Amino acid sequence: MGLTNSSTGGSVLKSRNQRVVFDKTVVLAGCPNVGKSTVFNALTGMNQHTGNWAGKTVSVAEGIYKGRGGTYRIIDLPGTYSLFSGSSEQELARDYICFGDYDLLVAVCDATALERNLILVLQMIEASDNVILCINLMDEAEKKGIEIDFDTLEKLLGIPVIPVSANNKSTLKALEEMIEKGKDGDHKVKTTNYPRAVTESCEILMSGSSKLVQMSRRGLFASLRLLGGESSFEKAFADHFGNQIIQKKEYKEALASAKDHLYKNGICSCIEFHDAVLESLVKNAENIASRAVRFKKSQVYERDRRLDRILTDRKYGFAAMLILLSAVFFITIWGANYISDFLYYIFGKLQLLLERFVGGLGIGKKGIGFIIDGVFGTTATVVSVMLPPMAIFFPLFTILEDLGYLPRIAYNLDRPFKKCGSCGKMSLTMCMGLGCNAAGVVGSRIIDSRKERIIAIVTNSFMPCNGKFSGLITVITLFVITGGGLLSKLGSAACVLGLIALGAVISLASSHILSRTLLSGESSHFVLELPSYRKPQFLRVIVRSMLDRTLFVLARAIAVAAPAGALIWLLANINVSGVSLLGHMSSFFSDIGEFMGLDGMILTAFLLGFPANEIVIPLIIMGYSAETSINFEMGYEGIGALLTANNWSVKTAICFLIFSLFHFPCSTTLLTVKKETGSVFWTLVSALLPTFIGFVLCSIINFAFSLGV
Amino acid sequence: MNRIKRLSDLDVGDVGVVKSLPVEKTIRNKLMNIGMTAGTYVECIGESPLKDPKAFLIRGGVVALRFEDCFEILLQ
Repeated sequence: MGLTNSSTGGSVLKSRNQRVVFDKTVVLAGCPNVGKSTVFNALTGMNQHTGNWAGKTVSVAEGIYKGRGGTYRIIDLPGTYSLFSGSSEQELARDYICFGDYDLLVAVCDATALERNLILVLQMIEASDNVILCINLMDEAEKKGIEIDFDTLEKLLGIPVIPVSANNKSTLKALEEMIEKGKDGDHKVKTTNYPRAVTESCEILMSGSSKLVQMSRRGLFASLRLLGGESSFEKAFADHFGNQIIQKKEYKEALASAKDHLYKNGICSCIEFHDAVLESLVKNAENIASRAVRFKKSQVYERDRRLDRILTDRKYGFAAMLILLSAVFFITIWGANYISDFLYYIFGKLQLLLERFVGGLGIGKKGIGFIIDGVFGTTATVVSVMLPPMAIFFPLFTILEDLGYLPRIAYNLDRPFKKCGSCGKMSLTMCMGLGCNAAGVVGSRIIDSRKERIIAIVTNSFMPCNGKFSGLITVITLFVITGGGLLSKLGSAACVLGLIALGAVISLASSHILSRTLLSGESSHFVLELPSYRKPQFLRVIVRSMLDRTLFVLARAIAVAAPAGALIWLLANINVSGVSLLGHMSSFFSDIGEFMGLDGMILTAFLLGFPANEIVIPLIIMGYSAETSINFEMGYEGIGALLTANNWSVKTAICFLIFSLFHFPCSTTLLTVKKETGSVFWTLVSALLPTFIGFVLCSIINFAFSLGV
Repeated sequence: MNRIKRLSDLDVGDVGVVKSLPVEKTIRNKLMNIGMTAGTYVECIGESPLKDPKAFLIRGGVVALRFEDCFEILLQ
């Protein structure tokens, strides 16, 4: 699955260009789910970053490995199943492996599914002059009774083979040595035998271009793709060698006569050609695996099946899912409270220090207010409210991913999602959306079909993100479920869950409508790998999430909240004809706000909260206290008193909750949508659709209340 | 009359050998990439709580496929 650092928001705002001289460039490539990033992390430690490569939506992680002999640049290509065109990940990996400038290609494999992995390895051997095979998850294979004969494998493939268990760093020694020394020379690479017509036609094509001949073994790799009619490969080929290479008369003639030769041998279309090539690869992989791999036990892994029997069972499957997800959710909210209180405490102390310092600057009461109430206050609120749930939610989610449970959720839920024109994987992006909508949007890359991906992206903001939770919980405890005690706590938790469920229902309903209107007609398929359950590495997960996301969120919070706080304070404190600018805005929006059961100030807060949802409540508070000059005290009671004094009722609260759930996503999310879809239209849809739904729902609720009163 | 056997006919525990793949290019490529070609041995090892998709063991890996895609995969 794609829930790595790069897909959960980390890469959204971050891209660095490093100018360091490297001794070597080493590329990691392999199928998804083979623990490639574990190898990458083990090698590079914390010296890594993710960057989006020019013109591609696919992100590639880069890191530095410092060995005894020098500094090495490690590139982690996205996981792919083959080096033929298909997805953008596959094409990027294919083109980089074939034309990229690197010293060593490490093909990473899953020891427990070697046969299938070999299909890709055989393609990599053709595409690169410098490949070594790194067989990961040896510990898992041992547990499953799989024995691999490395000598035979080395002989049959003609490349060095290194077994590792990337979870255990000490097993990486041999790989590290190989990276430093380079592979030794006494290996003779064995390539796949293709049907005679295929090999002959490749030779005919190569005779038409000196470049293809110069590429030697890679010439065959290139010819197979050129003859297979892969236009994206032809483009990469032409980009690499200059466009004239495919314009030359000899090349065109050779291509035509190669195709003619294929036709005479009964291979009449690109599909048939592709089939023939892949079939040979699969046969070869099967043959190699049958000679090098031995199963001491049955291939059906009992432990996995036992777990699956519960987790995907007809009776218990959904119950287990509900329990696991609620647990994640409750731990997040419950734990976040403690961290929040702690952060408030720290910020309180900081505020005292800052007040003393600013007080000594002699900038007057207004200046102090600007810095303390505006910039510092808003930043403090945002950080203490938003950081804790993120810091808990993402590690928990990553642990579920490491366990191998997430694909099972997609598997369980595929059918209802399919009915709504999407697929089960959307349930995962929705879960990610609960953490951060921008992360959910990036995470939608795990969905292959374009139609389903766009649906998942556009509807992602229906899931309330962590930034909205704080506002939702505050308003629920103040107005909907009042009173203390355990019962009301459970009640408000149920209320939040209910709101999430409402968000999910609206998500599915809009997918249903979108797939039958704007996105109709595009077919979709569902091929989902269900990997083995694995024991997560708790420590690594926690450290990585802290570094990747928590720091990122902190940086973002400060970057967004501090200027927003300054702006809001100015709006609330600059008076034009006796009323603050915020007051002017609020009275401008008051008609439409009241139509929706809200008021002008709330609507203004939502609009100004565009950079980040978590500032909506602080905005409302600041706006009200500037207008009514009520002495506002921190804490729930203070907020409650202020809101009630400004005519908040249960109706206002419900409308606030609904509009909070359904309005335009924050600016980061929208920028991410633009980047992921590459389309202004879909960005607009993802902003307008939720706003429209929120507007309609709020107006209906307001109308219903006015009938009741 | 002898009906053509399809992957979608397999129940949990059944095994089969693939005869031909769907014609449509995207799904055909996806299936081939995970190692499914004519002659591949497949075992149905589970179904999701709502009966669709089903899980198949293909070359040592477990892959979930939907009914309509399985319907296009013919067995020997």
